[in-house]
Amino acid sequence: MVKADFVIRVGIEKSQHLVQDILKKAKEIRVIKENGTAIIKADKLEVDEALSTKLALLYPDAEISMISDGDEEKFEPDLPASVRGILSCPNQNCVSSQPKEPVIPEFVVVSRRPPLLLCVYCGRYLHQAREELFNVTKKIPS
Amino acid sequence: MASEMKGRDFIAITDFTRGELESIFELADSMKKYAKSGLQTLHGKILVTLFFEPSTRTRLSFETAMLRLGGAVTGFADPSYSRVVTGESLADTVRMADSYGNVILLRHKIEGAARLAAEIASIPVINAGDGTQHHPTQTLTDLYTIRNEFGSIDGIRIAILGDLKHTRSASSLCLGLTHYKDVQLYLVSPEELKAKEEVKDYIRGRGMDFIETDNVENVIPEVDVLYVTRLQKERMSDPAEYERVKGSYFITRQMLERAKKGMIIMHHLPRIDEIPIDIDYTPHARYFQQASLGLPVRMALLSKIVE
Repeated sequence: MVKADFVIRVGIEKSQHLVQDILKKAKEIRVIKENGTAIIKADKLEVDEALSTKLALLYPDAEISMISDGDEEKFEPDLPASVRGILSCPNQNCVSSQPKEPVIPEFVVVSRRPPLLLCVYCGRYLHQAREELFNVTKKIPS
Repeated sequence: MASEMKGRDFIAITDFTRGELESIFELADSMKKYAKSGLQTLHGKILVTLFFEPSTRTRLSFETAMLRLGGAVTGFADPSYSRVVTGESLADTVRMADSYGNVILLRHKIEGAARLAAEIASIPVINAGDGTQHHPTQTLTDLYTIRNEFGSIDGIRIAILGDLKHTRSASSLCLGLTHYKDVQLYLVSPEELKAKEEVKDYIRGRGMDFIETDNVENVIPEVDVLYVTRLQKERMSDPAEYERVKGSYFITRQMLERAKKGMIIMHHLPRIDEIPIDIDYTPHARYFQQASLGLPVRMALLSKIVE
């Protein structure tokens, strides 16, 4: 996990969602809009595995910089080799989508750019992660 | 080594190496002579069958295999006779089976059901087919049939025909063929029923060539094996899809005039109308022998993995 001040540049159309995603994990957030781009300044932002995965999958085009000694340093959100318990499988015929079954969804990352994941249970690709797929209910304690 | 396979699950055909598959085939060769007389090597062991979907060949051949090896069988062939109808989860059903038996055989329409069962159970789980994804023991039987016929699977030219999108036997066979060298694979289907990208990417990644086409007549003269599949009406989410493609492919005697003399026709069965009955009497038909070879193969598999 990383905790630091960040500057994130993202298209205005995605900025509202992104602010919602980081709202509870930062001490303070300011947004400046310039020429179709939103510049989001997030102080003391905690980038844990879930947020890092979300940034990598939902905002692959965002330019993210970490402020270090007053300088901006490019920050690449980490996408682990497998993503477990963060994202749900959109295949309704997958065992990990069955509400009664004690399965934590898990994906293997096939490609980072463009993002492509493979569900370890149903073997289907997840070509494009969507916001609603991040609302995972863990069915067994970690 | 046989001992290295004891206690292992068999969820996908790629779970075993080529060498492990060969060791099963070699044991299956010696099991053929016991297919009627039987052995007592698994005396006292119990196979628990959990069939959440219908089955004829897979279930009967596994049950026969276990009985021929001196073991016993319990379970259900239809979930309506179990507590599943009251809403019991798969996980709880598997926990129960785990405590009663020595090996679980599971068929389910949900993809990944066998993998979940294997995570829960302490005894080996054999996937008897889950959704459109895997059917490893069908593939084991298919590969054994080809080996039996041609002596080797390396260098085989094979066409898989029909509903490649929904047929788990077809997907699973594509994966299984990647264990072998110089296989030329033809994937023959209408546009709507093409093999899944995930399957094609996997076989590409293993360096195996394949050609996709919708023309079966041009492919028949090229191949050693014509593997025919049934349209999986029950797995098509859109009924109109079935209406559009039904009857797309069926084999005729006329088509076979250009086939190689030794070409064989295989089918995972049951068939509907894709192989008319008159084909049964041609020297190419092997689907009934294929089904019968499922018995020694499953006897060998159980012998390898049941502790």
